[in-house]
Amino acid sequence: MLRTDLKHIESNSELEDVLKNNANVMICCGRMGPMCIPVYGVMQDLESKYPHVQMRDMDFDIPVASFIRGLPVCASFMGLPFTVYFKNGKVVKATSSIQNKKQIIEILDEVFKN
Amino acid sequence: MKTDLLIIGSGPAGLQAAIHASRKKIKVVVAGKVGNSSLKRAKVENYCCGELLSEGWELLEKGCMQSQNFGVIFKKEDIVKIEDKKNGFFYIELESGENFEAKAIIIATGVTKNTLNVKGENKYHGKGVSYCVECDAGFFKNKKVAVVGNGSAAAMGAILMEAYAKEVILIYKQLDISEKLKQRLDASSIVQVSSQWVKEIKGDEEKMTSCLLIDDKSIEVDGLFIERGAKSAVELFSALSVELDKETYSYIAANKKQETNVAGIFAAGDICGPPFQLAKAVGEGCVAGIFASDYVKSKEF
Repeated sequence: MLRTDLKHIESNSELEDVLKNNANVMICCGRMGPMCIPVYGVMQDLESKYPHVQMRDMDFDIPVASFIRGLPVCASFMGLPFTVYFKNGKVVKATSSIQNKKQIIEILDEVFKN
Repeated sequence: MKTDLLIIGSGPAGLQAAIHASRKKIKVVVAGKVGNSSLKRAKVENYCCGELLSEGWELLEKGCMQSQNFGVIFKKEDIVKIEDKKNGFFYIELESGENFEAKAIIIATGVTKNTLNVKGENKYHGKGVSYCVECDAGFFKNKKVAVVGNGSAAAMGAILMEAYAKEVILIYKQLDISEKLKQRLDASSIVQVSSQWVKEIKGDEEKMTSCLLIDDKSIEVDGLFIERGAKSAVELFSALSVELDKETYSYIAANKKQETNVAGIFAAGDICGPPFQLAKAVGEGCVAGIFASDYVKSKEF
């Protein structure tokens, strides 16, 4: 389990549940490394400012992460973490490797306009 | 070797911390290359009585001498590994393989821009361009990769990549590493391209495919690891769960005693965030040195 204050996705049922029951979902799939930790930190900080977006993390090495790893949009990704944004269950944006707060806010505002 | 306090970084924050800690009669080791401090090439301005020592290198040199007079030991090497021994000591390994066990650590590494700022870098970030060998090596199994950088992070990164990639190329202008690390590099199969640097990263729509060097020669690679200078503090300390600042998540979070969230680990200077001023670095170094030595003395080891 990742050591963050975010809600984790650890099973297929949790993944299905969050994607099925929420219009706006951001999932960061990584490890506890220096490229991933800042992204989790930004998500923790932004959670309360984006109540209309469900933010989750996911351990890159657990079975359910094969869903993220296997997404066509992530096929060319070669840097942790893989961060994927879903609108009504469909992928609308994905990034590879570290992103700063400004970059993440830009994406959230672009893809999850209220 | 066991020591009371190990200070990582020999810039103004590290030196001031070393002076204050050593005055409190504890064993202090400072690790780091003085030449890596941005102050080395700077003029001293906006610093109280700075006119007496107007050159940055002069201030650093005098600071080193002053610390040595108080018994501080200097190791002019980068740190490559830190672990919490869970017995009250931290294990610290230098690039030459020499290691220390310290009761407390002060992080005074300063900050290094790890980016190259070249065309294609942002486009292929995460699509071949990486800033962390340990994080992303697994994506390059049996591929051809390059590592660019002059310091220990690049050399160690290239050596680590050898276990994953089918071919590793190390690109540097001039290596600034320990003799032992150079020997390891020379004994490896890593191709060294010296007196060179990357000026552009090229690729297709999906991923990077090559690096253009300053002599206009192109090297076809699947990935490029940008590892300038030493391993960043954030990289070194993420495994110990040292918290970052809540605003940018780029700097180490420290309180008024320069303590981090991890007992025995303190931070001072630019690594704690802006303003990046000599006066602030020195002030924080002083505070960190005092409270780190108090911490060492208060604990029964």
